[in-house]
Amino acid sequence: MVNPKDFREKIWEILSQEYKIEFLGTDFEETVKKISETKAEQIYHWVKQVVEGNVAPIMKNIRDKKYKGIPLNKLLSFRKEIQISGNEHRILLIKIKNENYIEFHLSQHKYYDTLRKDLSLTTKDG
Amino acid sequence: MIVYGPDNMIPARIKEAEKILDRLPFRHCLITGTFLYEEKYKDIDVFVISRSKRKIEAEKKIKLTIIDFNQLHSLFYHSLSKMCVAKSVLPRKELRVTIADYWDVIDEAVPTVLNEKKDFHKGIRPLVLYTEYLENDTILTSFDLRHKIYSFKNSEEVLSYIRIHAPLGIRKRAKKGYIKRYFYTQAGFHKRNIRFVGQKDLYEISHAIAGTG
Repeated sequence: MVNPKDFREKIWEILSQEYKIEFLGTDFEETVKKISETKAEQIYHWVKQVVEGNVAPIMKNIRDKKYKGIPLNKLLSFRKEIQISGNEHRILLIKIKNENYIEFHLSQHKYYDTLRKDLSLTTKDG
Repeated sequence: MIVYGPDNMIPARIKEAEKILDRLPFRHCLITGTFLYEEKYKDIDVFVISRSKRKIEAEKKIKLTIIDFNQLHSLFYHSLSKMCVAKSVLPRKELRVTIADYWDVIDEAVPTVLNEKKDFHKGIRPLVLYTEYLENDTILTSFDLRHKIYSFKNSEEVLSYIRIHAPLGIRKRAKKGYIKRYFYTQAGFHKRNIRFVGQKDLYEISHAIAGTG
């Protein structure tokens, strides 16, 4: 099982930026504690792939809507689905174009559903 | 109980679905998905149409989703209500589908299939639902959708499907002037971001659609 502090530090280290990214999600700490070492390695590998530019971001051509003061057309969202303790979870890593990664979200469907509306993302079900 | 589109359902599952719905304290609720027509299933997809935001405790194996009344206009709701077991007559609202909604779906489907090269099927449900509706006027049921989705062997086949069918459906539904205006704007955005994975594909697709307008 993974220590939440180590998990956050490892991801921050992979992102290699000075800006302190925020780790968010309902029961983030408790969720991380349920992640196995193998699963954590898969997440670190995915974050590395994002940093190296090998993962396709979702980018929205929406200028007049903002997320936390940032126009949506300036944001890159990287989305990943993972199973934790048999339940579907989603990771959403958010970056400002040409700037820092600002948020790492990890949570179950209901939290993601609110977040995706703020980011104007569609549901998987349409 | 009302059974919508029973053709491919397993009779015993219809009875089971009725028992599950009976236990739920909601007027408008329904069961759809693989539970109704596949021997092996992972979850039982239960949808509740409600204004309530309260948390509902569901039984094991039941995946419960609340549908807001605004979603009754969506293609998603029109699709799931076409093949389901419902506790009562389901409310109906006029279907509303826009080209901008469809482009949003494509905009997310392309990164999804590029990232999930092996496990992309679940992520293309809305893409196929919209594409088939816009091009062929067909609202696929959960059963049809599942079969269509699993007919794609790899992500390249999905990209080809978008390249071929998206322009046809859009040309059928929107005016030429709108297509040109909307899709050249989208193409410009994706061109500016072409260094990111997937954006070149989106640029080419949006540019090709704009050209048909």
